[in-house]
Amino acid sequence: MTETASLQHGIHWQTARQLLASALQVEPPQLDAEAAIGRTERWDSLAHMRLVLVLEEHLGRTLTTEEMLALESLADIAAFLDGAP
Amino acid sequence: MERAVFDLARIGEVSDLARACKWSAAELRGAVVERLATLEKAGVGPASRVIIAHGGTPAFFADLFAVWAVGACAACVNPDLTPGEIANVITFTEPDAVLPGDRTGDLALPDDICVIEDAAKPNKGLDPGTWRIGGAVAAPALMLFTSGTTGDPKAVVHSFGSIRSRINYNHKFIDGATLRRTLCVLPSHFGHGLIGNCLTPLFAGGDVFLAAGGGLAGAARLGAQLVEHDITFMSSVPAFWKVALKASPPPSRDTVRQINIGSAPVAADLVRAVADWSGTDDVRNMYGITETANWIAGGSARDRPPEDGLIGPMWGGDAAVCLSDGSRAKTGEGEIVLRPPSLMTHYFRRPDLTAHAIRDGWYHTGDTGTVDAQGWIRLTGRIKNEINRGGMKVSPEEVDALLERHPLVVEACAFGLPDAVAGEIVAVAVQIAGEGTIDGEQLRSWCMGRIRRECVPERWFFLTDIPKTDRGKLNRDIVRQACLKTVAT
Repeated sequence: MTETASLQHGIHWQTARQLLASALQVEPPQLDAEAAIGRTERWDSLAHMRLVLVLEEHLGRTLTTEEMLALESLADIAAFLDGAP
Repeated sequence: MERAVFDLARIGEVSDLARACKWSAAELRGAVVERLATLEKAGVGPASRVIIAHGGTPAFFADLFAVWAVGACAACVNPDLTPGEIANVITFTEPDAVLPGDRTGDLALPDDICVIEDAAKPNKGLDPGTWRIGGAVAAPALMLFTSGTTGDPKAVVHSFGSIRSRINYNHKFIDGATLRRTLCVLPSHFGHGLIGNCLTPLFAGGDVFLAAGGGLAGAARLGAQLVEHDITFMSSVPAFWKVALKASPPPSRDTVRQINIGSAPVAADLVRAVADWSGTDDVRNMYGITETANWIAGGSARDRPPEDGLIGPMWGGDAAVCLSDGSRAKTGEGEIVLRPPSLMTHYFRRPDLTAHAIRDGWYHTGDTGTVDAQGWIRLTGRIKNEINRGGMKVSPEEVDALLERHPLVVEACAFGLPDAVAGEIVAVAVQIAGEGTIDGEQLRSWCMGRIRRECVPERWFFLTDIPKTDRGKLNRDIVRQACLKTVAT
């Protein structure tokens, strides 16, 4: 991911990528910009729950059910972090 | 000849929540009659083996009961097996027929095998009559695969008598009112989901609601599902509850009378959290092994406060510990050994494995722990290498063997790593040949079409040499430590 691309995706793109990579047990460069449930093989329900746990740790608060279910892609995670309180 | 029988005259109905369909007991019986005729026409009878390659639907139960109605043995395989794994299982089991359900298209089945593709809902239901299905007490009834679908399969064989006794004991420890409406969130190809969550309530006259494989969205609906279907009983694995407790609001009213949790170590905190969330304090940490059909022991949080590793008393049969000198004791600490009435008869075509697992009539579990004076079992560790990923058991030897077929892999050693959600994940140390270059994602892709998903390693460590003990033997703990050291440094 170049700096330009990172800017196009919002200020939390790299953080989102790192958190998702941690949840999926891969290195961040192995995740492409289109990473999403159904497209990224590793992203199953257990990995999704790991993602929720790392996001909660990062934000210092609990996610709501709606927030958990809305995180379907790397872009969703970045957008969520951009708007997260 | 003494027979072990199951009475279809008083079974409940089966609902498939994902497909929004329900088969009444009469419709299930109608489907059994249709399939029975087809099986008999194909020459399937006692001593035959039939592979059921699908699962988690009412049609699966119709197929299973039809196979039992002719007295044959059903080999229930994971519907997610790759076509290559199915082919391997067919070669190993030499079945008389295959019931592929809705998987017909992706299975390259041999031309000479009888394939029965009737998995549809029957045209008509049938009223109860004489519906006692089954076979000789000692005759094979069920084969469940615990590993090796890529190499040398390891298939547990249960007799009609073993399954019947397991269900009888389950009925003794779970009353009929509790089993009235059961939610099954587990797959139907292993003992916990099939025998515990489905056959136990069905043969108590209860209704079963199938909801496996719903992922996070499915877990998020759990509270609502319990209320909507007035669920009285369910059993699942710790990983499911870790997801459900976070994702689902609690039920708006108390419906559940009892919850079993098993197939993986259950923390005391999780038992308490499930009790708080569900509104029932009858949450039971269950000990179940495929070789013993399903649950073999368990205690309620009502009887003793939850503690990590604390299971409970046997649900039929005896437990003991095997001490370090090889002797057995009724109480004490050592390897947990069991002598239940629902013990498997053998591993299919593996007398070597059977002789190692069952000694003097006692099944050696590979788990370490204690049995106290009241007969309560507590698990403290594991001798066997098995990896438990969210309740799905993975044989590391099977993963090693698959990877070592890759042309660039000299040696592989799989092991479990702790995981906050799954309990354990599959990790592997790999030694690559000479100048070869390949990364974990490439190897993972190579594995995907060759082995079922839960066995595909999630963490990859590339070592120049797989460490051995000073006697030159592979020790997975040593390999695990060596791998973790590469991350720490």
